[in-house]
Amino acid sequence: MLKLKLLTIMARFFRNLSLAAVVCSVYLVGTISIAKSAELNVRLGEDFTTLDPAFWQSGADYTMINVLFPKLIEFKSGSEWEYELQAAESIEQIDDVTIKFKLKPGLMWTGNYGEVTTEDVKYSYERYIDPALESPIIGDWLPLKEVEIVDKYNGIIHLKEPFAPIWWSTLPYTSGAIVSKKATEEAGGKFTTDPGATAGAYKIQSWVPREKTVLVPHDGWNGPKAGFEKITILPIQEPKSAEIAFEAGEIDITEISIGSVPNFKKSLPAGGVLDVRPTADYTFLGINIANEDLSDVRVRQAIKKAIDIDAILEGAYFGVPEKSTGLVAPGLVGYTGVAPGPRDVDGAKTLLAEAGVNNLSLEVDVLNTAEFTTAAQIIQANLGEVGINLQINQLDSGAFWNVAADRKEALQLTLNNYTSPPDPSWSTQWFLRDQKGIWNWVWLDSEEFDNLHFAALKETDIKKRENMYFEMQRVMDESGGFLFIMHPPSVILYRDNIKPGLYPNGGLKLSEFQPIN
Amino acid sequence: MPLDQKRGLQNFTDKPSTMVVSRLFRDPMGLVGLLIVISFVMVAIFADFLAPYDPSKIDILNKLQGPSAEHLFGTDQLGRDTLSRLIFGTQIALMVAGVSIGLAVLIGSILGVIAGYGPNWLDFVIMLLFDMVRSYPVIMFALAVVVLFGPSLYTIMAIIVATSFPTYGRLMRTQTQSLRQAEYILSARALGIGAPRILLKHVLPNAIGPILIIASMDVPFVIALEAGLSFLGLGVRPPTPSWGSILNDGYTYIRNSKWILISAGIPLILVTIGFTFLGEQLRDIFDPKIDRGSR
Amino acid sequence: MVFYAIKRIVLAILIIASAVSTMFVMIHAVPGDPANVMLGPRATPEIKEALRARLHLDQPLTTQLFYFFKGLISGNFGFDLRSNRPVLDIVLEQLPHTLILVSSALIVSTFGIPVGCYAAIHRNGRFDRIVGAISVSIIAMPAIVVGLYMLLFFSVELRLFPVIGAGDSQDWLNYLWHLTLPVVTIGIAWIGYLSRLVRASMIEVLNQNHVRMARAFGLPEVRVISRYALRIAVLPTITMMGVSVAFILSSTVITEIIFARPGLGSLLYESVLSRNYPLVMGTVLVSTIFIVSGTTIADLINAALDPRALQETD
Repeated sequence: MLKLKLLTIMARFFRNLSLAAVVCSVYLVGTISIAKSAELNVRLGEDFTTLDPAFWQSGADYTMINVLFPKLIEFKSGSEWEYELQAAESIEQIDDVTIKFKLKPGLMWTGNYGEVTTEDVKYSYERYIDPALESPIIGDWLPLKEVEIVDKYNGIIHLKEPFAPIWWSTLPYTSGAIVSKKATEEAGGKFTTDPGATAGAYKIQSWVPREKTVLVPHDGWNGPKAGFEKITILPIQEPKSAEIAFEAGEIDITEISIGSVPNFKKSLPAGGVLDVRPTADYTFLGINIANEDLSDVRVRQAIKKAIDIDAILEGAYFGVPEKSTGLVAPGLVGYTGVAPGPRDVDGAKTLLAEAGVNNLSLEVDVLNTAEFTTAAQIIQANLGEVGINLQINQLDSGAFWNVAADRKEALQLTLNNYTSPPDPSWSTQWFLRDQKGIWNWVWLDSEEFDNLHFAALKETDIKKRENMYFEMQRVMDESGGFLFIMHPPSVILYRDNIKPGLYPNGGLKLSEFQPIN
Repeated sequence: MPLDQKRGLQNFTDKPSTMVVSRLFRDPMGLVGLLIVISFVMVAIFADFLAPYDPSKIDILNKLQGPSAEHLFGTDQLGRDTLSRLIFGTQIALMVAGVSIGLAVLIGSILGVIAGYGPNWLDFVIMLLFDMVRSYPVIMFALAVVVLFGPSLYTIMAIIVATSFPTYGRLMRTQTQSLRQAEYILSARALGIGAPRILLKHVLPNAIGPILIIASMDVPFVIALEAGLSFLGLGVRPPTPSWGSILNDGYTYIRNSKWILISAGIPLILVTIGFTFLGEQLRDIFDPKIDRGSR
Repeated sequence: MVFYAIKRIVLAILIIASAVSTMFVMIHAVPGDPANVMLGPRATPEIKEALRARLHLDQPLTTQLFYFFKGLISGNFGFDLRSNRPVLDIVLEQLPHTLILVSSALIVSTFGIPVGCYAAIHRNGRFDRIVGAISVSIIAMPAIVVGLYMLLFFSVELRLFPVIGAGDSQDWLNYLWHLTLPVVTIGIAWIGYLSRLVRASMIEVLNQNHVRMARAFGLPEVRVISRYALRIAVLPTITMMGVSVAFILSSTVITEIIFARPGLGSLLYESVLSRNYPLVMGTVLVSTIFIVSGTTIADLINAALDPRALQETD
């Protein structure tokens, strides 16, 4: 009996399947001709995991927080890092430790959470310095004393000490985002994927984890009008899949890999626009000073001399980025503009001979992405020419980011990319002495560097600040621990029927996207 | 894992090896399989002579070229000759398969015989181990092991051994059990002949045929697993040319040059066909059930 | 039979428990700190320490394992380290995608049944040999090659099929369209496999007495085959499918990654890489349950159909 049933089911299935095939092909023809109006499909590299500004981690979190929560000031889209007023009607620095602001009236939270007031601002910023919150980015607000409420719209931020980065990596960055006091307290003081209330240009209509997030305009928003009736955000990890999906018309805007630039330049898909823009991020080869085999500075300098950066840029990045001049990227305070000397194989050999080193075997730890493994193989070939045998350990992201904690001083070379907002203090903080083995994988150990870092944080005179960062980069260079390769540009590919809002580093400012008809 | 191997492995009867070979030659499928396998082995052995270029020779100016007279299968993102890399990749693929399946057979057989011959509780424990290993999707197990020990050739081989020994273990156990009660074994025991000797003389010869079949069918799976892990960036260390990492390069640069991807798939497909044909044919020869009355 | 079934089920639970424990120990020994995963690069060591204590990560492995099983018994599978959502929710969200993929692949593979059947009837004929060669060559075709080739030809070159995601779950046609390439990737090997299997068991059945009898009575050949032979010959394929769950789940991992599909496989991959232990364990547990149930059910069906199997000890 059972067997008979099975057969009937199978027969029925085949009939349905052929029916489906016919319907399917008709449908395909149908979809192609339907034009979409005022809808935007955006690709992000991953799904967001937390929307709480005090706990954000990934680029997706960052993009979502920026579109969902208002800030007093927000970065402008365009090519220069400048801020503009967003939730604030006015904001001014009274003295080194006092900032006065006034909110625009009429900005409403979603749901029944009322208007955005100074209460919310005070709560949003002061929660960072509450040790009970355990925010991992407490540093953004560490010098905060309190936010004083003058009235519903007027408030004053009091700092304990001068804090230059507040205008660059605190207020207009995620830590400047304002959350609803009432909704957050209801959620127990922090939240992950359900903020309770938001007040950005768009709000979340639906979220299917790992598949898509749908945003729709928020009525209570008092800023420039939202351009799209619907924004669908698709998390696609593999940049290659995203590129193919763009060509197939499945998405309207995506970041693509640097290696694809020449190809897209040669043959851009119809209706595509390619936008290559510099970032403050930096890719470098770290040479661990604390490692036994690398303790001699001549060995480290020899490694730096032996490596052909141009070949790496050509081989791994298709000649798109420029050679780096140091930690600080072009356009930022402290950019030196002095390019490193060309490759010097003989010089490297001489240095190694002076150090009395031969038959050196080293290991380089890299992330297992195409760019890094390609770059590592070029470095391997380069070092081979001066008699250094290099083994490449390609690690998955989980293992890679833990490699310093794991191997400590046994760590030798690492090929690394650190991201950075447009303030050099963000980058220098990783190479302080107390960061050794945490993020200072080079074990840079310089009192001078540390002092300069903290002095620069408080220095508000641009010229003096710039000089400090010059000095810090000199220290890095002399240590022989860093070979800066490039500042990876961010490459955005989008359709010509949209006008995207892009931060100078290519980050998506979704609130500003507009359709072009 | 080939799943219906149980069928056809029982009732296995000993056949002179010469007959096996001649039967292999008589059937076109078996012959094709055998030829493919032999040629891959040859390519692996003589890779140094066959490869037109050094597989690690970087030539960035000539990267991502399509097929040409100089580079039959084109070049990769570092300008290395894809054909040469595939040829040397054969060494890696066959070595991984050979060594790890060999070890799996050895470990599996020992455990299988112990399970079949030993006390019941031991049998239970070993069978539990076999079942446990079988209850993971291979790639899941592999992912965990690779991130645990770091990606390398040895890790991959260890994973393959760990995931495929139960198949051989079960086989040997069945063989051992079925012979345990056989009259001539009982009488051999009565004559005071030790267990190891009995096993060596009677169990092993009977098991060789089925083991060959399974091993030969296993090779493509093992090679595919290695390729899969290398594809995910969890395989052999660069610049070692592995088919999987070449596939990965091909996927990464799919828009620049489709030739890397296309050519990296070819040896994988050929090897698969070769070993599977061979395995199928061996099965037909050894298995009287399917064999009966045909050909 | 009842005794055998109980024994088999107890054994299955035992297997699941030991498999999951082994995986737990392995994954917790992996280098990579979940505190980094949860807190990101800028967390202070004190905050990380506090978090480790809260997750019991500072305790010995055995204690952690105890907490894990204790949680399981009370229905608590733990929480995603990053989004803090219940692991069970996340796994259950992803499960349907994988189940649909696997079952569609199995359904596609049934194309192998008529093929194998025809080959068996016309044994050693030209069709049999050609089909034999083709099906044997696609049996072990690595999913990774099939998937990548299809991606290259159908998505990149011809642009016939979408590249990413599972499509719109509300719109079943769109969903089906996204499903096509992944299903073929996994299913194609099984077409070959099933056709071989059906061919073999069909040959066996055709030689059995009652089929010969039916023929002798002059029943039309088509009727003999469809009403008598095929129904019996298809049975081993059902048990075989149960045993194959592990294998199929393995190929879904690669397939889901290539086609950027949501599902258990890609979830597992991502969570292993991000050291999201609770999520890894949740996925492992669910897949193990599936695989072990598959084999157990197959064994039970086998036993019900063939009492001889009862006497086997395993």
